[in-house]
Amino acid sequence: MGEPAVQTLDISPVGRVEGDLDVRVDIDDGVVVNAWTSAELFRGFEIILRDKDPQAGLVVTPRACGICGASHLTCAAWALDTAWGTTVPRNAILARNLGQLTESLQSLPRHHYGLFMIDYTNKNYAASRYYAEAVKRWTPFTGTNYELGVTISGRPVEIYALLGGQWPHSSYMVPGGVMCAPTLTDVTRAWSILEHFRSNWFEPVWLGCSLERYEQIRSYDDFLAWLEEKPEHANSDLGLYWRMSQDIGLDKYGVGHGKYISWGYLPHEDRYNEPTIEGRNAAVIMKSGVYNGASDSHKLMDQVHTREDVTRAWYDEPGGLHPFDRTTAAISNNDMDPEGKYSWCTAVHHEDNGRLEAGPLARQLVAGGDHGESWQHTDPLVLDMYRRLGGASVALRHFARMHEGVKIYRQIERCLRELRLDDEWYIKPTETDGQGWGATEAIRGALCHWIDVRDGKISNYQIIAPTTWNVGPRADNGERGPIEESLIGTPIADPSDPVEVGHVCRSYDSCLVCTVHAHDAKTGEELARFQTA
Amino acid sequence: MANLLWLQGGACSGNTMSFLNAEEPSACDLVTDFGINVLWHPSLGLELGEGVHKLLRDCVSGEIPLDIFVFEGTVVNAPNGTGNWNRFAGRPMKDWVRELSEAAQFVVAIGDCATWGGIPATAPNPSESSGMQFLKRDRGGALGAGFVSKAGLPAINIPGCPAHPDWVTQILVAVATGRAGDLKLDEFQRPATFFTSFTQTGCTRNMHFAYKVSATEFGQRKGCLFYDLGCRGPMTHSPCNRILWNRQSSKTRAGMPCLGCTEPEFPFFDLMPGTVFKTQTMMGVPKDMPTGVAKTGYIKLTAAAKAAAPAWAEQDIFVV
Amino acid sequence: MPGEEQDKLLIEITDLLASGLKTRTEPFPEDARQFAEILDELRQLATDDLEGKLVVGGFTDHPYGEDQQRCLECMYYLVHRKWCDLPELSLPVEPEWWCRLWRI
Repeated sequence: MGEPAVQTLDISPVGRVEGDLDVRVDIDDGVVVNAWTSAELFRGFEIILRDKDPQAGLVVTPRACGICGASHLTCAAWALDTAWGTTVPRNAILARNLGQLTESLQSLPRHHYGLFMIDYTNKNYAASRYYAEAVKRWTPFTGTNYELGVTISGRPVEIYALLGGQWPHSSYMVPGGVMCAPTLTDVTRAWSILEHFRSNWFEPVWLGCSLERYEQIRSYDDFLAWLEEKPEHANSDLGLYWRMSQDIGLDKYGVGHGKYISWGYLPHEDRYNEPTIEGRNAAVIMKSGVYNGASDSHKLMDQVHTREDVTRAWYDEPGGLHPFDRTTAAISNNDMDPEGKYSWCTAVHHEDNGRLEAGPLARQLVAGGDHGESWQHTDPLVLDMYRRLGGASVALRHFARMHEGVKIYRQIERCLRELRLDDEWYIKPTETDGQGWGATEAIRGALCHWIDVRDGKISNYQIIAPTTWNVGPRADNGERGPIEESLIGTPIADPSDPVEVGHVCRSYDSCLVCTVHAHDAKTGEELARFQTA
Repeated sequence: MANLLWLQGGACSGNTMSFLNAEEPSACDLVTDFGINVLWHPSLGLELGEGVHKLLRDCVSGEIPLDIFVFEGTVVNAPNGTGNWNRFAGRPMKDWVRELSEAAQFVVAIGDCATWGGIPATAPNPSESSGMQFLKRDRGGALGAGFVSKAGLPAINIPGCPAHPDWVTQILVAVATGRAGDLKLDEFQRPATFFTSFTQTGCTRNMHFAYKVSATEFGQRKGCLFYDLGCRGPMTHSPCNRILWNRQSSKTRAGMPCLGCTEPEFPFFDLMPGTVFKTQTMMGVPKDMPTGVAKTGYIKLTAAAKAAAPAWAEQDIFVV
Repeated sequence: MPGEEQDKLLIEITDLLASGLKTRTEPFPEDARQFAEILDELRQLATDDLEGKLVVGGFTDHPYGEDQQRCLECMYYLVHRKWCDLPELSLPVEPEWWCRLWRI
């Protein structure tokens, strides 16, 4: 008897993606032909926040995600600032940006070694000429660079602790500013920590060159020339990552919709002191945007275009609502039904452009555009690679994440230089009713909060996380979620160990956990169950 | 050598992230130097070949000896007690939690969610969450008030949102080095060595507390956070100012009021309007007094402290 | 605030209170919420509206009530600077005065 034409793999849980994510894929002739992503945990933060103190979001939302807590806090604070009409002093904007940036810098080695590179030591890649070196460096816990990378990832958030007392889960950003008033010794300590991170991992291990040399890379050709230039470059963790990724074919799949979103982030310290929802796009250093790969075009993103469909999610609400109009009506029956409802994630989309991919790749593709303000940050590298390599892939998506590191590092330096220690850190606001919106870019992508304060309490609080964009189920018009779409075309070499599915999910750094059960598509009978981690 | 299994329920992964900040021992040191064998962890996945389902079943059956079962996150019971809002490896997580706890030598509840229910259990507790052996201050929880693990201890509660990595590693190292017999737990099953002193113990603002000088708003360079900004440092048991966070600081040192996150009631007052970052008072006197202090004594102390306050106490002290 | 300016302001307040300025000594805020409501009212005033602050704050130039409460024991009173440190008031005051934002 031959193999069934189409096999279905249910992957539950897919490990190393934070949270409970189940993935179901249909495989035809060794290639994924259909996919469903299903978020399997609901805690109801939006419901908890209803009727609570307006500032409750500052305490509750960092706890929505212990990995992106500073990012949630950033959104929660700016949402209240816009609702209350506060004035935020420049020091406070810098101190908030510092918090956001140090959390993101922490995440680079932690995600890279702790979650992503482990797959390169999978026995499926034993034939690669880089395999022995990969095992030596990246084996969990005992790999030389795994241990170094995971341990040093704790350093950047020491700077966060100087501002907020601890990471994760501080609430030091408040409407009107920040709670702290750092002194010279805090700033010099922060510089020392940053320098340690640079001289012990960033330059010698990750890049194999100075930050300055890396910053000269402005195009794909520059990058290839850099790779060839010295053995230190080719053999750095970045160089080896890139070369092995080509060797094991990670540049060949994980394409996705080819449409991207970034809210932009890092409000400029002199341009967002009177924060409004409408004024944000022109105030952020890293600009917002929607990039459409098919038409190779950029435009600004605006929160008014956000819509959520719930036909395929476990909620009972009308489709196509803007978050301000949502009620988060969870339903009790959450049976997994690929033909019907199958996730706690809603299907978020742009009212004109449909489903969009969020994340570091989106951020870098947006950074390549010439839309926005002339003073805003631009960087042509990843957009050039995207064009030259014919679109997205697992390899490019993760490259984009790590590429941002040098820029994050420079922005941290800039914040430390710009702080004026004798100036104010907080201007006490007057609490009023109103609607607010706060956004940022968590390391894993576009994050924002909407708040509606009425009668001195929260009447509605809504969060759309990068994982909501990426892991969402099908929209009302049937358009797949970004990860679902990215899984299409993925080759599965060994259906008993579909590591490729793990690669795609982890390249999104989605915030959820997954398992694989393999089904015979014709009979529905379970063939085997696999843990992909 | 000790086998460790770490699972997450209604969790944010914050305790895992906090744990990864550890140094001396680092997470890697625990494995390489102390022989902690991590059977599985949701975000530190080790290669498992035959799958997490089999591993879990083998732990439950005793085929794999489970020395330490660490649980992070709430035990989710919604909807209607079924636990289906948090499924893991094909079934409600709460069923795994019960079976694995019964199989383990030591059960460690890490973070507020696993100890008391934490943020997800805040009213109206949409996920019907509870801690392992408590729901807020009430005994019971997912395992029942009478539960003891094979080694004869109830679930070891390491609260905090998140827990400090050193609080966790100490327990793991104690078990791995055969010193579990020295663990002393308080009435809430917390290791007494950490949770007998107060958050205020070691706070850099103690002189301002003593002389009754308030930080009346955020971003100031002097003053105690207890009087106006709702700090719970004098009523909260934790070593946050004895064992610093991220090796650098603590919330109260940085200027953020303690939220009392190692106590079962966190978040206090269910975050009702008017309660966040504001000291609750009754006729001009704090509603919650520093632990063990009576109102009449507090009033007398205030008069004496004001009378004795030196001039420097009224000036900025954390200067540039 | 320079010493001279503070002295001048103190005299101005002393005179206002001595002249029989009617201030809102009641109701005393029972809880944090009512306390915050008075603060909100103070925040509506112009920063230099001295009389407004005294009226809304409910100032008296003598100890008040059954317990003879006075600034001297109040949380916001800075003994050495003879100053009320509550941001919404920020005024020079005498230790034997009182207002309804008194708290310890």
